Amino acid sequence: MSNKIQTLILSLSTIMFVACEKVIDIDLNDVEPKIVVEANIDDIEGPYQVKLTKTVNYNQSNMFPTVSDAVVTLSDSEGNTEVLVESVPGIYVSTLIEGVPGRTYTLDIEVEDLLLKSSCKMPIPTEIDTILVEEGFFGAFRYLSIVFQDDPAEQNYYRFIKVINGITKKDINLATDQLTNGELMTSSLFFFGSDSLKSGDEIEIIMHGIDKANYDYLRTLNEVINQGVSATPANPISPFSPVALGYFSAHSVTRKTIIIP
Amino acid sequence: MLNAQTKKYTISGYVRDAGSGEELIGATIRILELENTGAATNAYGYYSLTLTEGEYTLSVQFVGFVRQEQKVTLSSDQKFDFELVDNNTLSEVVIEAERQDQNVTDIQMGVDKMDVRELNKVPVLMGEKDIIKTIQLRPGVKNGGEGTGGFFVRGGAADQNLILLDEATVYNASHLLGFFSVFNSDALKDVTLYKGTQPAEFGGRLASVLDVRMKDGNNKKFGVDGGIGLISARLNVEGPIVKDKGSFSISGRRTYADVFLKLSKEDALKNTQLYFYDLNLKANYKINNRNRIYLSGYFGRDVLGFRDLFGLDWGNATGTLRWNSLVNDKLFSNTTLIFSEYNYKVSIDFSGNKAEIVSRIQNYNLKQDFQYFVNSENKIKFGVNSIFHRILPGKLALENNPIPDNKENNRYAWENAAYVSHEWKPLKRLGFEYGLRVSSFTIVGQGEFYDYDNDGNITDTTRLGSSEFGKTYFNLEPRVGMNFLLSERHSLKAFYGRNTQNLHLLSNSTTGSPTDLWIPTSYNVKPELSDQVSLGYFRNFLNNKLEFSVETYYKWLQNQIDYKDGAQIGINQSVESELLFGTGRAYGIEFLFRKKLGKLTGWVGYTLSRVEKRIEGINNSEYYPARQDRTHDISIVLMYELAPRWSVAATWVYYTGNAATFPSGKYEIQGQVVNYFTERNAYRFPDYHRMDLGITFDGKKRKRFESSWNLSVYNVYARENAFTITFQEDPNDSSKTQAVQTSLFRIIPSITYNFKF
Repeated sequence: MSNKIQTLILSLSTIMFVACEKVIDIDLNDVEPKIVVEANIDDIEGPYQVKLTKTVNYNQSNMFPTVSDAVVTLSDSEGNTEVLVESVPGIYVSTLIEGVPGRTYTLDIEVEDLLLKSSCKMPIPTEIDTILVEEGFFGAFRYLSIVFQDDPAEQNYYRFIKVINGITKKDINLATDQLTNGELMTSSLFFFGSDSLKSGDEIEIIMHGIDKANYDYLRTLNEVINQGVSATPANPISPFSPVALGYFSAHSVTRKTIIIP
Repeated sequence: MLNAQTKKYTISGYVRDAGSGEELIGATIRILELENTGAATNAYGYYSLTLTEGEYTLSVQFVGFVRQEQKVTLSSDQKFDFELVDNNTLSEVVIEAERQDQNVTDIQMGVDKMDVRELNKVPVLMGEKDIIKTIQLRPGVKNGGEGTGGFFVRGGAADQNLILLDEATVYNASHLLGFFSVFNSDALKDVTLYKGTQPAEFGGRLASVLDVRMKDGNNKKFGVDGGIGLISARLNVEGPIVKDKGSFSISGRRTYADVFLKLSKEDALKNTQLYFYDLNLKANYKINNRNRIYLSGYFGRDVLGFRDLFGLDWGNATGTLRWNSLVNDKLFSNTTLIFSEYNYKVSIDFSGNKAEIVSRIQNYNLKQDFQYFVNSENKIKFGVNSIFHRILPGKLALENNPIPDNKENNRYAWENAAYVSHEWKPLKRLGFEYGLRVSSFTIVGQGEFYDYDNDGNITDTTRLGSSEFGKTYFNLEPRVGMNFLLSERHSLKAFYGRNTQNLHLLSNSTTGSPTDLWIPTSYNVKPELSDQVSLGYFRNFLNNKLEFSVETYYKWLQNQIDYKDGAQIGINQSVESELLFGTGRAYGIEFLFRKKLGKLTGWVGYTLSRVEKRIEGINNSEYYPARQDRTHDISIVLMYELAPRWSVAATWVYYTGNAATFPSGKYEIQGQVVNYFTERNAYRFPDYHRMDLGITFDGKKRKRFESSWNLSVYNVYARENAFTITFQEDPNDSSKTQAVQTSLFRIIPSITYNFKF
């Protein structure tokens, strides 16, 4: 909240006082390349994949080297274990292991003298009841309200992904039942700029049930991406031990589609 | 007969401005027959000197006023009130070189007394003369950057300055997102800054005390003065309540930039509200020759809004009731009852769903101070002080929403202090001021207090019932200052002092915000401590026309606060779990070269300094620069009188950019490029520099009316200084990233018309 207010104040003060922007040169230090992990498993059919890349210096172009020859092991709480196969450089895929809600999955990565580990319990999926099209700021724009029943037995965390006319958006939208455990919850999703809702748009909402570690990861990742005015910007909270960049997410998936009237 | 020779008598009284009857603070009274013997008036214009029987010549002077001499035959206790004549009111002034060597002879160091009248000439943003902006031009004091209201003293953070307006704490001294300060200079009489080297009567902050006193009001005749500028207008009315017995002063100010916004074609601007106003009130009345009461208050508010959909307003309110009493000619008593509050309110209307956040900090303060003028070698000050704090970190209220309002979780605390200090001049050339302040801070219920481990998990909970006392922190704060006059022209000074701080401002943004959060010391957050030693050399040249000083300091800091990586400072209950604690150190050297008299006046200041923190969990627990660390800081202020009615002024500032955290690398997650950070505050903003110019033209002086025009230009050579720096994808080439700097101001000219009748 407070961050949003600060951002608003910041934008107001830049409007008020003839602000100007320019690209500047800043001499940034070189960094030793670090491993970046992107690992997903869900309750839809596999294969599941783990992607290993590396960081580059800030002033380099956005070409991120892949990491080969790692030993990537995926196991579950039922005793199933599998070493993933590197299908293309840096991409490791599963063949056997199944994504089942309620099971806990563990990812082990052996790479360049590093041993990374992360565990994640796949939440029970939650169905979307309805999607409502609503009007904001007295008709200035339209947005969606996602209505769903929260499970009172657990602390739940959710992520919503927008697919607009078949194009998946990258923005991160999260919700938690911290204040509304067990209630019929409503989450608002906004569509700005070229994504603004228009009559006839087909909008698919993909809902992920995620665990707390991934909620914290995505929340802090979103802050890093959107920057703002934090004086202590930092890397997202890592779900790995020892700390590494990236994430391992075991999530459940549900979907619902509407056509904007 | 022999006995009579050694008999001592007291001369005492007040020193006033002959024009307005206002008491002058810090006016000096010298005995010309005795080397280095004299007194200075206190904050209420009172002085007291005790001397052996004899004939003396008293020389009374104050900056900007004509010196007065008075022959006295001292054979009994006597009262002498002086009324000094303002230099400016004489048509043809022949200023003889006065002795203005307080900077050399005073025991105190690290003290900066601002000349409120000098302010009028220093060019400032939008022509809005501003005491805080001018203070930032002094060595050892750094501005918080464009768009932030705070200032940094000797490496201290913005919340480590105790800002007092008639003794009431001002928690947020900035208006309009930091571009202006809350101090309307029309209402001010005296401004003194202590750079952490304050005497024992002040306490509660580590880095500095800014002691601002309001005008009492003219007790001889009614007067109106004011000003009209591009963005604001000011008006001050003052006059006697009963001639020579009591007076009042009322000052008001409001900006009207929002009126122009309405003319804008852009919808976003048209519907935006952004203004501030403030009001200063003061009245005093002399009950009799020994007793006088003062009542003063301040109220100011900033309003920012967009239609009815979003609103943010904030402001301070203070009230001070004072009773001055002369117990006898040597003992001066001041009893003060003070209230002060800062609050902000955010309201959001979202399709009829209204949400409101309210946060406030309040205190009630009772002070009793005594000054005992023993003789010309000894002066003793002592007193007690009790403050009750009530802090509401934040209350969220939602209309039409199933979530119940969270309760008013006020935090309560009781702060007490007692002090004694002794100013002692054992030798003509040697003076000491030493004292002790004992302070305590008690956590008071009702409330739940948590202890956290480094991962932010609660390890211990303390529950206090209503009005129940929790933990009390005691601190001893010794302070010792010394002045050794090497000759009439130069002196050496030394100081050691300890300060504590029990209120802490959490501000995890590079720009600061009115919604920054004040939190009290708790079980988890310990009192901040600072020990400072400083040493200075002061020298005057050319019959005191030129002043030179060099001061150096070292500070050891304990229980310093910083934020965890990516900390979220909101109004949540667990905000303390986002904090980390450690130590710090600050050191530096300050040079000041100043010319106070003549056609050309002004100063050149340079500071070389460093401030670092060491906190477990940040940068491998090694020392790292604090955000406000700046290696070099230069300010040049020049004022020149071209002709009797024309004067020009120029200022130039340069400083090393603030320490900041920038990404060193990047990586890709879910198709998005993400910045990779390696170290806290390892980078710097680009160096800041700027020049401002101002011209003041005084209209013809008439009997009942005076006026002046002030034209100023801010940022003359249009330097684009960085306000924020963002790291983003290159809009022309998505395979690249770039650093983009936003700067707020280029050239800003402004014009102000001032009048007085």
